[in-house]
Amino acid sequence: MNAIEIRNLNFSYTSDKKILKNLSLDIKRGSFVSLLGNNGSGKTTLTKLLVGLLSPDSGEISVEGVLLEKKTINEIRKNVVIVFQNPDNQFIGATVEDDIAFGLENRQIPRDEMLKIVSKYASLVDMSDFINREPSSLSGGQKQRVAIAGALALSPKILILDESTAMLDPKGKSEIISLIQDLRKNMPELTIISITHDMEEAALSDRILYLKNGEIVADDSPDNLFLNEKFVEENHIKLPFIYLLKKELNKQLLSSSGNTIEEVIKNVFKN
Amino acid sequence: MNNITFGRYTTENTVVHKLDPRNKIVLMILLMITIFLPFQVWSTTLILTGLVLAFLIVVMFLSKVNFLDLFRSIKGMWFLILFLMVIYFFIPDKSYTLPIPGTPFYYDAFYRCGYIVLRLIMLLSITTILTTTTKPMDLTYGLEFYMSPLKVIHFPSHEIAMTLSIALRFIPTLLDETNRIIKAQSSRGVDFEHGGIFKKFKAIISLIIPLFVSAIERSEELSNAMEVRGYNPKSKRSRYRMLKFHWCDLFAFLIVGAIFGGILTLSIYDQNIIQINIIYAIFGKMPLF
Amino acid sequence: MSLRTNSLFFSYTPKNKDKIYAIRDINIDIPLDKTTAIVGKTGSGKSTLIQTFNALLLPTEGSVEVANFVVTNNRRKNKANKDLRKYIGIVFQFPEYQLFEETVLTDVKFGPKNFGDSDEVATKKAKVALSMLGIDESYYERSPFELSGGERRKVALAGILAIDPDIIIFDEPTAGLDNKSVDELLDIFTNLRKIGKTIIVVTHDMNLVYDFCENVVVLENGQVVYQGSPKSLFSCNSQLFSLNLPNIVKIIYEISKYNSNISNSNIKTLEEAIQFIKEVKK
Repeated sequence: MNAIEIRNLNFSYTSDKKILKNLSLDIKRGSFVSLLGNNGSGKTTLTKLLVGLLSPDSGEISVEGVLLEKKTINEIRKNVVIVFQNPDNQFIGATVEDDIAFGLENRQIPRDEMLKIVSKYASLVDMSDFINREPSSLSGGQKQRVAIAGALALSPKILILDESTAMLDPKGKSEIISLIQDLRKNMPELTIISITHDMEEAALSDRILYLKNGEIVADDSPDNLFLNEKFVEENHIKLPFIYLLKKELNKQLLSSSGNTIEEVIKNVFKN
Repeated sequence: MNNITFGRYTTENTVVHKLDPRNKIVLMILLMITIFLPFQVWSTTLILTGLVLAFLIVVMFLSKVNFLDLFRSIKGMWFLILFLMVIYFFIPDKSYTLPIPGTPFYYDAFYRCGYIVLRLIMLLSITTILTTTTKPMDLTYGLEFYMSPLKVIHFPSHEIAMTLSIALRFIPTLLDETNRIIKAQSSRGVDFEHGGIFKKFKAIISLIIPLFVSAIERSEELSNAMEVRGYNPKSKRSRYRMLKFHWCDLFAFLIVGAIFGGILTLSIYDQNIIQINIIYAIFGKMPLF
Repeated sequence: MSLRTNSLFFSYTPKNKDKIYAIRDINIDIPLDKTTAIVGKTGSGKSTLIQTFNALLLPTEGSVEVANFVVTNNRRKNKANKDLRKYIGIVFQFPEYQLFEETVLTDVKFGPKNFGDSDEVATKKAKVALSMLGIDESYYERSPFELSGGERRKVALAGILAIDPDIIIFDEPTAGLDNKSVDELLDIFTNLRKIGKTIIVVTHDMNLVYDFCENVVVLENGQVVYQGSPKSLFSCNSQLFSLNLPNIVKIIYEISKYNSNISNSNIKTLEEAIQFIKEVKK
């Protein structure tokens, strides 16, 4: 079953420049997909189209089997949530708990139920101790965790992370990455789409889509994509370090297996 | 930018902090009206005002208001006070009756001026109590409550409350931003403190435009975030925050209500039936004024 | 030549009785012929420290000395602030948010003109700075607000370079950039070094520190816990001050489990490390 089906999607802001060109794409339910591409390649536009913040020039989008139209926007938004880049600009509530509750209030969830949901998701993102805190007293990573909690509280089927780690320091980044790993374990039905520049992050996903000038130029697993030397060179992709290491070892005809630096080096010396 | 401390919410846990914001708004208004109730005799006015002042001081102690901050904000009004003095001394009122011998001035001017300054300070104290003991967001909830009956005439009370609460939420963010831009432009040689009018103007422009640009960008992102989480100003929402009326609210209401009611009754009596002169009533003597 | 701080303290609330210092007792010596990185966790005081360098923040106690300038908490003694800010430029995080003029060229000219250059000289400097960042003439008359994020950042950077400061401080310059732009930025750094500018960079990116910088200052809770070369910082594995390791250091550490000779060798790049493995394997 596909979570997202896109057929022949076209979009442009102005008539002279097409942002997305005849894009077609299926995303499997429960998968973790990374969307890569340089700034201006159309990644963010694509996510905005997915939730109807923009409407396409032509083409079709179906989310969880529902065709995106004006009258189905609300239904689709119940299934898709987006966590954006800037931690400050998506913190709506006055405190952590108010922010997590914001979407629930919009859905008119009764208060008793809201209290339970808020405390559940606050503890899921490990923010239970900060429930009364105001955003100005939180770190970027903490704010992003709250944003994720606020999004997941709506029990969506698809979570889109739109460069959610780009503005965070290394600590915040690793907090979010390990949170995503946890989600994958505990919510296997959740489809996660992550837009990112960070190749180390992309290496963790099941599948990478590479967008260039509004077209998907690569659609493959991280292993295949990062070991495709021609593609990597053409697109100036900065390889995740582990792939760089394997590539160099390969060149010297040394063994290059393993998923972490520790494993790879161990295997080199074993053989 | 960190020096704006006056009237900021303090995270104490006093009785006054615990009061329902809706209640506090009403009590504040009642006290403000009380201060402005008229009496015919000066001494009566002063005694009753003094009573209210004493009450306010007690409340300020109870709610742990920082008196130093209050004094600072009073100091900030020096110009207004000076202005009032000039008005009262040089533009005498026809009702002045006690000339200072040998001068064109009147004793009454002192009383009037002192009284108006006292009232100003009391107003300031009342608002300080409200803002230091109530979270801005709770204040908005309180205001929304009172505005909600106006929905009948299509008054956008919910939208106003939401706008207000988001504005409050973004004040610290925008202050940080302002600070950052000031520093960035200072690094490009802008002098925000010195220089002639033209240079100052240019300096301000170099601050305001980037601030606007970023605020607009923020608002766009914020509206996207709100929309994605299902916000629609026209549809109904449930409420996470509940305002609760406690027993102490009733108690506070009774006290303030008694002060307001008592002084109001006296004032009506004074204005319509017979003038009240407390000093005469107690000492059997007419005071000077 | 160096930039020195003497028992430098800074507090954002200096009037409070129990004031909290953002930075405490900083004594560092930053040689101007080297590229220096200032690293540390968020909230460790890095940004505060660099802002005292060009007197955007005045020390609560102590002083900063560089060239003929002395920054202390005495406002009157700091008359030369403007000259100091011409000498030391700071490129803040997300500098694209400081653009405000109608055209790219006038925005870049803004800095030099503030520091007393005539319009003609400022235009010349602006053009040099813009070309250094690969922004050609076709951009001069465009509004900075219609440019892409990456282009806006370059224009903002040009706005500082046009002032022609001797020392340029970058606060998290790679934040929010895609890989291509990061590579471009590193090229710009290299060019700046070639023309004799001193670069000080505040960063979280340990690979940048290891590959690009010759000197590093580590801050922790407002205090300096290390200053010296990146190589010796990352070789003393026991004391890493909760920093992330540069990738190459991780490899060296892993290899050292199997062959301890590597710890004493002079390996700085991945290729060298692989070469080392190859030789050992033989």
